[in-house]
Amino acid sequence: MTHTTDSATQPEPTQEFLGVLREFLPALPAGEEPAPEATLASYGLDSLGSISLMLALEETLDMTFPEERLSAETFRTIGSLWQTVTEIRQAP
Amino acid sequence: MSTTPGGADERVRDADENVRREAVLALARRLSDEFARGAAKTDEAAAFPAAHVQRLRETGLLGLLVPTAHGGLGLGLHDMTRVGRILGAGCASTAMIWAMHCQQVATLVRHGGEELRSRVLPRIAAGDCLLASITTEAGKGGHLLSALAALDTDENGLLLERDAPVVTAGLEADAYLVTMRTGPDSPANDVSLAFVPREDAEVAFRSGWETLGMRGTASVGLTLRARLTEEHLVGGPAGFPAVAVRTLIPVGHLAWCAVWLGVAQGALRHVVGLLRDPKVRRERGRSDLASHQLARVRLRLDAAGAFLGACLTEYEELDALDSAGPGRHSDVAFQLHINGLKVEVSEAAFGAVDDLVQIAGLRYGYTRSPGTPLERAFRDLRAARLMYSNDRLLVANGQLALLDREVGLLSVDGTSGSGHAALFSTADGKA
Repeated sequence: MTHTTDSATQPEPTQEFLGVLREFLPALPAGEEPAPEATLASYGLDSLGSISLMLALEETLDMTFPEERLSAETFRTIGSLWQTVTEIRQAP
Repeated sequence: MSTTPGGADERVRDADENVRREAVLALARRLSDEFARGAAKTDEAAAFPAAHVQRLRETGLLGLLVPTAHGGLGLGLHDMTRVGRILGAGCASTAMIWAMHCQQVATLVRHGGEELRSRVLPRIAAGDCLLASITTEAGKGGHLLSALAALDTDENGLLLERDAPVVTAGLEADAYLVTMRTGPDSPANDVSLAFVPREDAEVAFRSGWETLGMRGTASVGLTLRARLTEEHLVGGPAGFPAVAVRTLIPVGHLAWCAVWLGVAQGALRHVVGLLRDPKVRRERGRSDLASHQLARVRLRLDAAGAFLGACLTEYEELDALDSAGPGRHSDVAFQLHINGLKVEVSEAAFGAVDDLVQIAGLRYGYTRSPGTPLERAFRDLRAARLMYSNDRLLVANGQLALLDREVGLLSVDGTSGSGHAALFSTADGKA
């Protein structure tokens, strides 16, 4: 599995993260691994789904998305979302 | 199809904008009076108001939003809402057919390809093309931005085949704007909007429209089959989300709200007329309670009208900022306002008429009477909360409200106070 961004330092997405994600990707076939570079929209995520996904990630991972990270870029692909989550959690 | 030459009077069409506007408002008032006389019959028979729609065709009102370069009246959304209110006071069903048509016209004007526009817009302006909307589909739970039936492609182009359970003016429309999944392999949120001319489609009747109110909209069930080319896709393949956020949703909410407000305004006018009748006043005696109730109704409708005006201004400000793509129209604050507008006006208009029935009483309010047609307005407006259901909009707004930490309330000049977090819209315009 490769990441589109920062693959050298970026850890693989955790099962916890992927588990939350799956719930919000209606077009992802059951049992199939989501591709990190695929867009979330291609797995059926719409705008309201994005909000629900963000709230679910915050609850499960005990974190808060700062306003400036709530962008189209963050929610574009699984890789970009995971990278944002990692950065937020690593921030002091 | 129109039976007499249609479209706006040439002298009106060629006049400057203010003259056009005044002429159109005067025309709308005349038509509204005409429609009011036919509204009871339309309601009783649950029949499409063919004579009213013929008048809309021949007077050019179908072309209100069509640019003058294409032969239309070249007016804007403020004018659309003013006319919607005037017509709503006459006949709710006719006004809603017109409002739905205007929503489709605005979409075509803004997002149609050049060839499609130059072919279709002059026909709309001439009164030859009434547009209907097909977005509902069984099994998708009222999700506007998703579709189940998919466009298919073969050597002859695109094939559209679809059930359409509720189509306002479905059998009388001359063309449809139809949401379809972009291809057989596309996910449900990959949606295209197809322009389907009636003459190129096989349209089969599936189910009738026998309802509590809005009985003249003839919102029948159909099946539709048509061969199309990519040129028929408004906003291009997979373009529907951007089209919806930018134009179809906001213009729809503005147009419908104008009609509902007009229906309630018409009902209030009847009750004020009734209460000014000396004979009725003597019968009823003086009552602080009645004054109180009347004041509440008036207040509710004034507040709803102000909300409508502020949303219009906000929409046009965003439009001026960005002439292409969904842009700022996906801002959280604007989404909250334009969804909230639909919820609030649908509740306020119905609530106001409910109160008016109470004020007018059994004899004048609850009874079917041509003098005070409150019971019809009550039944018509009951549909407002169901049409693109408030329940769904409130769930959406509840989530959006969590994103707007600054709480950017809509202010009187139409600008919201907060920042403009976009609704996670992606750069390619898919909200």
